[in-house]
Amino acid sequence: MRLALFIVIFLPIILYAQTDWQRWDKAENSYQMKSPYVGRNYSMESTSIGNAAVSIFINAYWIFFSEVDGDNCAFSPTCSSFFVLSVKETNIFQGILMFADRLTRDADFIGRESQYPLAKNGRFYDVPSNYKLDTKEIKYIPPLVLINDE
Amino acid sequence: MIKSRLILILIFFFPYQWNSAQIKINFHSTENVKAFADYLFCEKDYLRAYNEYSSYLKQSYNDSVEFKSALALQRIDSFDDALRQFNHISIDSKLYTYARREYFRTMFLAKDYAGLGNISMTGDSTQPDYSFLLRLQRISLLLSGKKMQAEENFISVFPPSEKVYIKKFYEWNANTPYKSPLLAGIMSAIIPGSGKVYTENYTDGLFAALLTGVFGYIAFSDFKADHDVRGWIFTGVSAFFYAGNIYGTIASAQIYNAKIKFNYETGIQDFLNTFDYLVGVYNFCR
Repeated sequence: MRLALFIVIFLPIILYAQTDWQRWDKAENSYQMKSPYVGRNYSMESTSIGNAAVSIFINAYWIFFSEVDGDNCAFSPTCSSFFVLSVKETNIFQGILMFADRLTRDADFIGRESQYPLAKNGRFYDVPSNYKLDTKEIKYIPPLVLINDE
Repeated sequence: MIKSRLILILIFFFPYQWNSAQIKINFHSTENVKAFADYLFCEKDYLRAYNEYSSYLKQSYNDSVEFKSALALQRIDSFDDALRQFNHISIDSKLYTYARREYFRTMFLAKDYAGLGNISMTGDSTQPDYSFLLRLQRISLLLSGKKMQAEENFISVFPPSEKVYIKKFYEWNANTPYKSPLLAGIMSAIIPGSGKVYTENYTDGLFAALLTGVFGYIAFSDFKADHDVRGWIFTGVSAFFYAGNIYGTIASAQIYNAKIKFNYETGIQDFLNTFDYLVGVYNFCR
């Protein structure tokens, strides 16, 4: 009787208890921070003349300016990423004009706080969509508001 | 042995007996369903409150339950269902006037400004639901940017405490201080950076003038000193910044206008929150 009682009470516990001799699966967590920059692709393979021109220009900019200057751009996305995105979202001519304007605004180290919201990385958030001359795409965000945009 | 068996029996069956005594409460009675729904509503758990109110309404009818059910739907932004449910409240109900007010408020929250503008009521315009409709119609005109009537008539439907704000919004809407992108672009084409000063980006304007001017001056000096290649390189750099500045000035004027619109809409939103236009205040949860 005692044995039966013991089995009734303890057998389910033994059967359904969590085992500790079976190894738990390893969690595949990545602890790398997501880069706010557009990945640098130095490849010169291009499908069109326009893309080839952009590749030459952006490679020259990365080699002669970005890599010498270091990770110092005050903006997110950085000026070179801004240029790549601008060309992708518009065309090469408009992209160059947007880039020239961005460089001018980048040179202005005085009035940034009163103009731009802040990205998660602490830099000034300034995306190409606001400069495409398409009023429907402009998204105004007040200065120094923190953006949780990936 | 018998003793231990008795103890075991007691251990196993006593909780069951004790629970059985407790289960005499009928948790699914209409009163308890309503009480639970009210509790959820006051806890702002509107989705589950709506489900409980619905199960109550399947068994019995009560206009205050119907009203609160519609209100729960409104608060979870289920506007179409809320409108339908507010419409169910009979004209004979004491809550009819409130239901009408909430109906108009729901249309406003759903941004159905055209639909709201098309509603016409007859009777005494000092009635709470009628005057509320008139005020919401005026505010939706301010938000949709449609042509408005004369100022005095426009603000007449608002109480004195709100008139000051509405007057300000009316004037802002009539004379919105937008900047012309074309004019800004022309100004920067004539004097680099001046368009940015016009769009109130003063330091951007200064740096645009400096960059274009400095590279232009270097190009000029190089040509003067017969360094033609360097002269052309710096002419190119200067032209690059010059063209970029004209383009950026047009974009800057558009962003300035977006800022003005944003500030205007935020101001109206603050006004609506301050004077309880967006959420009805009731004493259900005292």
